[in-house]
Amino acid sequence: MDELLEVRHLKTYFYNNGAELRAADDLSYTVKKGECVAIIGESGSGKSVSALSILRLIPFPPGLIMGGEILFQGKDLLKLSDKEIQGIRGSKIGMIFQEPGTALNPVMTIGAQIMEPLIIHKNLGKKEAWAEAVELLRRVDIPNPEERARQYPHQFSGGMQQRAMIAMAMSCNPELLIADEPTTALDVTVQAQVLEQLNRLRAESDTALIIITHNLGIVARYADSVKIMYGGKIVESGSPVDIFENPHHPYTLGLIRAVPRLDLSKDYGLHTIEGEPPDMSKISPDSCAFAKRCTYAIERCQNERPPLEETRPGHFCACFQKNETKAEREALV
Amino acid sequence: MAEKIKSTSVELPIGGETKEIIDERIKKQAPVPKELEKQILKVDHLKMYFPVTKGLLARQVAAVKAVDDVSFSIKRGETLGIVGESGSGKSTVGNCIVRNYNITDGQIFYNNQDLSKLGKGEMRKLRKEVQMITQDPYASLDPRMTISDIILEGPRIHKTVRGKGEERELVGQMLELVGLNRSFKDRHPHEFSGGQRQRISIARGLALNPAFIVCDEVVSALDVSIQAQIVGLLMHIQEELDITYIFIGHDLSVVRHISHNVAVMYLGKIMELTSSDELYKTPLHPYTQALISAAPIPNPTVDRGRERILLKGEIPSPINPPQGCNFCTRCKYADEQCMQEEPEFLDVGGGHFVACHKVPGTNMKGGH
Repeated sequence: MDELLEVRHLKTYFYNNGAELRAADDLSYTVKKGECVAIIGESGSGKSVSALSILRLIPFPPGLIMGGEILFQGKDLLKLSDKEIQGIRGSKIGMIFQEPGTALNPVMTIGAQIMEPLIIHKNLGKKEAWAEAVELLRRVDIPNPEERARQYPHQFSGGMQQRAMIAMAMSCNPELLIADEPTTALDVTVQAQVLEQLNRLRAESDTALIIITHNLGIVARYADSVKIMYGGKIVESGSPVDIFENPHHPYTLGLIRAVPRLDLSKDYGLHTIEGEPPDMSKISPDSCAFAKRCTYAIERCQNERPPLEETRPGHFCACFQKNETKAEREALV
Repeated sequence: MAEKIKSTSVELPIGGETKEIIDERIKKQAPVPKELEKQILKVDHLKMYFPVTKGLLARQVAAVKAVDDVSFSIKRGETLGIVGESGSGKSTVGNCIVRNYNITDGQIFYNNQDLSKLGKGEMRKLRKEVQMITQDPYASLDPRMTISDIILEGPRIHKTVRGKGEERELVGQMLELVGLNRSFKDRHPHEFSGGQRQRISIARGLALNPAFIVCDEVVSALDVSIQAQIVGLLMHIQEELDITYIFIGHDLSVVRHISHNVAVMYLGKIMELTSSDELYKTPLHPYTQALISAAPIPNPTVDRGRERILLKGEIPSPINPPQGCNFCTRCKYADEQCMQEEPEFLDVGGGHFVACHKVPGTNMKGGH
């Protein structure tokens, strides 16, 4: 498979009252054509920033992309002019946000909002664009699309709003779709519908997807490749089987064991990671961000940043103690 | 005392000192009459309708049937989980029990006393014994009060503490019980993270020494690792203080983990009610089956081999619920009978309740 997107040493920092916060600290990852990459992290781990940086949607001030390269089809997105990046947003790279209720324009009809990218990027006439918008709504299973296209966002339920967002994001057949917590605000059964739909559309048009989430379950179900983020850094990456069944990093292990499993007896018990996620402005760049909560931590973890090393082909882990977690890893069910 | 629940592998920062505090608190609790020991709460045909009004004179044009004929009971020291999607009425049930609403119909018995027949004084006593912890740890704590004032608000109103010394002692005990530092008492809510705030909410809920707590989506707003901490804390407190919980949530795996029994609600009704292990092993109601299938399991090998049931459409409006079974509009098994006749909520054996015409054992009984 070809590499569609290559993020190299991305550094996105935020500045607040003189404090430097490294939301994305030397991130590197690739997305292949048609691949589904999941970025997992808790709040404040930098998972959204890592993807928003691709479209240069980081608000300045306080955020600033300090360095690195984002190669999309061989072109560095960070070097494009504002006009050029606008030509890519919504046409070659689509975006789906967490809360469709706030992302949609409340005073425009759904149809008119879906038409917008079609008119701007595909140079369609108004009539053609309207017909296309109705067709897109039909593709995401909205009943009576002709009628629904004339309605406003408040007349749609949360699930339908998110499907309209998907229709909009897919309207120009993007090469890459970025979905930031696409189903967090939705009910469980609606979440399953929306994800299934997103996955089907994506497979049909061979679009790559970056899905940002804190929900480990949906990652296990849909992702081809998984990145675990903590404190602005990728701490482990690999295939879902690597990550869920053979995790090496103490944080990944803790996270997996902290989620109650429906398929296991209650006696299995929940594991807790003690402490709270770190204050990002107080992490030293020359240490492991997880060291303070880690039960495996040694002195070296406080003074040196562990590099991301390959443990077996395609599976990377940034931890000095990764061989010490073997017993815990093997005890996983 | 009621039977002890199984312990979990969760380790909590509770030292020897707190153990004594807990023992002392248990001693302080009034002795429970033998016959009431088991069943602490019984809800009988509970209905809660909210009027929909229109026009200047607020004429009632319709009713939102938020809770429509719900019955269940809870044993002392156990947890009943209520799981459902938004609009299922799960939070309304919790609010009815703590008497935040005046119920439309039905009865709620707490310790065999009908709540609707309680006098003012008895009601005050009840408010002390039945507490509620809510979802949003940001909105539920007054930003201008110190942690100490937040925890003491209830005890001061009910005059269960006297004097500065007693107050200080109680706040310290409560903070320690929920795994926070005693020195936090003079700080304000904004200084704390979401997980810490939820611990403060729990400390406030425990300050009046309640016997019963309604936990309404208490972990939904929290990160995965913090969620596990709070669930562990609640289970630990239950074991130590013999508290009964109603645990309301939308995440079936979390609700099942903490609960002894789980009720699945849909559009104001309980669809299925059984023990939490039984619910996963033998779900009978088509909605429960869909809910279990929709919750992905964080293990690719297990998850990718599971059967997927995708529901069509969305939950109908509770103003205008479908005729017959509430779930018939989305159910793949639904037939004529389901669209005409409302299924009864029946025990199919061993305390496994289900409301569905299509479940063997209910169909025949449902006829008359």
